[in-house]
Amino acid sequence: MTLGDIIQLVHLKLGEQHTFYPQSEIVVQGINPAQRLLCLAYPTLNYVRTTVDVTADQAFIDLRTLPDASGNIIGNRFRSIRRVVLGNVTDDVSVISASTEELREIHHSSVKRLAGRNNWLSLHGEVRKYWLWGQYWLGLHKRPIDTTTITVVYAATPTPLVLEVPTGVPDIPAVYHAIIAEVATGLLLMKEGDPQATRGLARLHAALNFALQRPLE
Amino acid sequence: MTTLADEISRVQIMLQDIDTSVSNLANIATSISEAAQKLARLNYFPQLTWVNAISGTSVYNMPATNVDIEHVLYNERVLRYITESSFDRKLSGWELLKGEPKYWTSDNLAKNTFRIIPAPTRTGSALPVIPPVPIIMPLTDNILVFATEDISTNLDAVVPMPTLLDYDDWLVYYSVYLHAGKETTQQNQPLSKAGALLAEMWLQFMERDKAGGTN
Repeated sequence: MTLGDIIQLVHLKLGEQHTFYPQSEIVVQGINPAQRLLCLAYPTLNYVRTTVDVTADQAFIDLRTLPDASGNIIGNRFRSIRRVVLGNVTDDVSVISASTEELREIHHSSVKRLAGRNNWLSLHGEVRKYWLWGQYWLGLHKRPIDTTTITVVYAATPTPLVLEVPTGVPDIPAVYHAIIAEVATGLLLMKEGDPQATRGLARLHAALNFALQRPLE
Repeated sequence: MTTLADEISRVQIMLQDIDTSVSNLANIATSISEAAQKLARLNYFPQLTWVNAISGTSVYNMPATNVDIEHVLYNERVLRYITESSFDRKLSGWELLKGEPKYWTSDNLAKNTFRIIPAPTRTGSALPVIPPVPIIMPLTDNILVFATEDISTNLDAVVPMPTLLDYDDWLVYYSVYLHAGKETTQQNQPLSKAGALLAEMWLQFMERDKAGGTN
């Protein structure tokens, strides 16, 4: 479905109240947060796989500078890291890291664990682990001696859709597009307060089939 | 990219508020800022802060936006956290020690300051590194702090928000909760409750993502 189709579907679900719910509001306040919420609940819907050339001695990378599937800088659409591999595994034919002639997983560690060794940050050599600081600082341990290619697989927020491009299509699979409309409807109802807000929340729960750790009430 | 103006506009849509007076927009911005501070207190904004080490100086200041200090390295080596009382039991006059720093503490110190012990005997260079690897400032004989910060003071009407997009959604809903709950003519308790429920829902998922990150 295109953005135009999804807007139309949301309108139908809202009883075609075009005055109370203008299209701009449906996109900004409904559809875009809805697709973000859907991917928050189910991160597997929008994984991105990209390569990064890490220069010699580079200790950490700001993951917000990575490109997305379209080659655009991910910026604040970065969400969380899933996997890091030494070498290029973005395509069908994987390519070993030229500098180390390796193709292997880099294991997750943490600053706290690495800090068991006083000099962990200054160590140079084989890259075997990565660490994270917050959600978007990624470091390699040990620091590479030569320029090294790594593949980063990460969960991303879907690209926001814009009203000016009604032919835009959400990043997530088409089978979920109707769910976006349903969640968007629930979110849009919130502004009306009770009882519509309660109905809106029920729509969210039903649409996302939530199994939350804590009940929302 | 989201700006503070975009966020205010989204909050106003939820509030069904068409008042564009400066004072009203400022009040909403205050709620958004308050919401951002809550995320900051939950350590959502990691930062790697470089501090220039000075020979003979043991107490250093962090930026005013600092929230929490997790790890401190000197000369690319780990400093161990210690409390002042631990040092008192071990050694008197430890504050006068000079040498290669081994410990750090924020115990009993003024906000946004930390002490490294012993005080260094060398002053690190403050000249940028070319090429800027691993960071633009030299780590040799200097201090690197793994910290978290408060970005609420950096929110600007036209500059993109220094947040992830998920955080922007959360800020809207939490701000609606705060704003609609105020004892003003705009008070709307049902809407405030709806905002709180949405914010809680978002935060549960954000916490799950974050759990794979910090530390």
